[in-house]
Amino acid sequence: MLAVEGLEVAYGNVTALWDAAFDVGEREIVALVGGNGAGKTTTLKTISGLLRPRRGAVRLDGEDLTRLPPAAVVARGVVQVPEGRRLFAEMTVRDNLLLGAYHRAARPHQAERLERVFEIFPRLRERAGQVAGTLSGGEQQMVAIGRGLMAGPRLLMLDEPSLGLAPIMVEEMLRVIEEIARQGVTVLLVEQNTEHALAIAHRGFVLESGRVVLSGSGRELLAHPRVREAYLGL
Amino acid sequence: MRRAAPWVAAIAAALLVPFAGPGSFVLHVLILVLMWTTLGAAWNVLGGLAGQVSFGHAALVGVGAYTTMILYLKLGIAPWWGMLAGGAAAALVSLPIGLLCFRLRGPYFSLATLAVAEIVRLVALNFESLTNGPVGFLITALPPLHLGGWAVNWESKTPFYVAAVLLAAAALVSTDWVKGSRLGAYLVAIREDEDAAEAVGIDTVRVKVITLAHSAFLAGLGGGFYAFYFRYVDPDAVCNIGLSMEMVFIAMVGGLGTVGGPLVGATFLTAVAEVVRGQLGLGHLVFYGLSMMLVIRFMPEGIWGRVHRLLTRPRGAAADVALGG
Repeated sequence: MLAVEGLEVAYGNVTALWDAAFDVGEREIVALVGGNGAGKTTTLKTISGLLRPRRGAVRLDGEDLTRLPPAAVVARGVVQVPEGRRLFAEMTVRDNLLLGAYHRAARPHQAERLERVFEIFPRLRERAGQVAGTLSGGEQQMVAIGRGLMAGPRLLMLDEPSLGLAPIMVEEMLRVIEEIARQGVTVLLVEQNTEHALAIAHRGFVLESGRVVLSGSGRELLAHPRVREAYLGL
Repeated sequence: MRRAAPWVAAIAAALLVPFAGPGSFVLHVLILVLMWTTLGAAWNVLGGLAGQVSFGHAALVGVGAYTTMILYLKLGIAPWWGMLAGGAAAALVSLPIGLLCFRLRGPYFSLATLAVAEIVRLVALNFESLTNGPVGFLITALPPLHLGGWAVNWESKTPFYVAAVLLAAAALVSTDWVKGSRLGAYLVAIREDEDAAEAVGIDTVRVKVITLAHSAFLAGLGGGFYAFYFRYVDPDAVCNIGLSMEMVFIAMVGGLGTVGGPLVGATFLTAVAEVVRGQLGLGHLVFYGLSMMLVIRFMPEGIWGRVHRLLTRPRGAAADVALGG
């Protein structure tokens, strides 16, 4: 479904991605793992259209996304849940969610999708009228993911959803990601929490210094000596 | 706009003021307050609602004022139509400005608007065949106007007062309407976190360009009114940076992003500026600067913002943002 080909992305003179390539299949959970500065977030931002690559292409079912503005990428069903949640802190939970269904194609489905988000995250129904900035970290992450789902994504890209969450919330988040994938949404998961990400991913890619250095099924990667040593500390 | 009745009542009450027989000085001050309200509200739409701080709004006021002058003095089109054309011209001019400047964010955007304003000022100063250069334009006599068989007396302040009320009402009502609309929610999203707004698929440049055009239309209207009322326009009067700053002051002192803020800010600053100028003989901009510092330090939400917060429940302000189904 999504193919990333020979992506090279630079911030000014600093190249963050060199020849990154991977693919995501329909209804898969694919994990993109790697250390700080490996280029994970850069990859997601490039797919979203927030950054322009110097070389290479991002294709969605064959269509090149790299020249499209972010809004057009979202309209094609590729939605990013940004790192650090990035909620509209002064707005209520409900308004944050409704803003997720911004583009024209999504508007008629607002009510029905809001209901679905509330089913996935019952806590958000209770907090619907509350100002988003006053929620706990875990609840804010739920809003961020819910907001992403409101757009009706085919591919949901999650950037560090477990960042800064209590262990019990991390477990909950992983459960929810699997649930979302079961409902037919393809998930591209970027995580520093390698162990958790690979545990639920069908396939994974390991990024190091802007290059994909390893790939395989989640289980294979978890068992791979290099991954175990470098990321799991075993 | 959620409640039409209070607006109708407020506008009607404002229109009745001349019947109370105020002196022409009082009417003059009220006209100034309303003109500044319009200009402050114009800036507030972009700077307050969308969080895009422009230091160049004088350029748009200038386009409105010059359009009004040129249409009247060169083509004989009456200034009351000229004001509307001035608003439209400013909105039109704002489109390329927006497409250019909105590629930049934060302080870089603000600096770009400053540069654009300087360009407009230099054009007004040097494009003599169109603008009369530094000499500017002077209206010696306004054209006759008959409303329902009654000839408008241009020596009286009343017709200008009525026009000023309508302009300020247009500025405040449209602010209120945008705030309650879907567009208003996008603006809040952009103001709070532009990256997140893009991530949810909001076409931020388009939304900002639309809002700038709205803001420019109001600024152009205000500029047209300036030409109509003072009957004299030159580059120093309508294209200088001081004017841009006064628009910022009014919106900030009154309350950024609030509907009533510009009216409060304009009242406060105009009234006190008149007093300071009359009694102390000080430059009123010194006073503007001081009150701006005090407000930012002690009342960052502005005078109206503070009053509004005290009158509503703590969560009321945030609940104002409604998206509609």
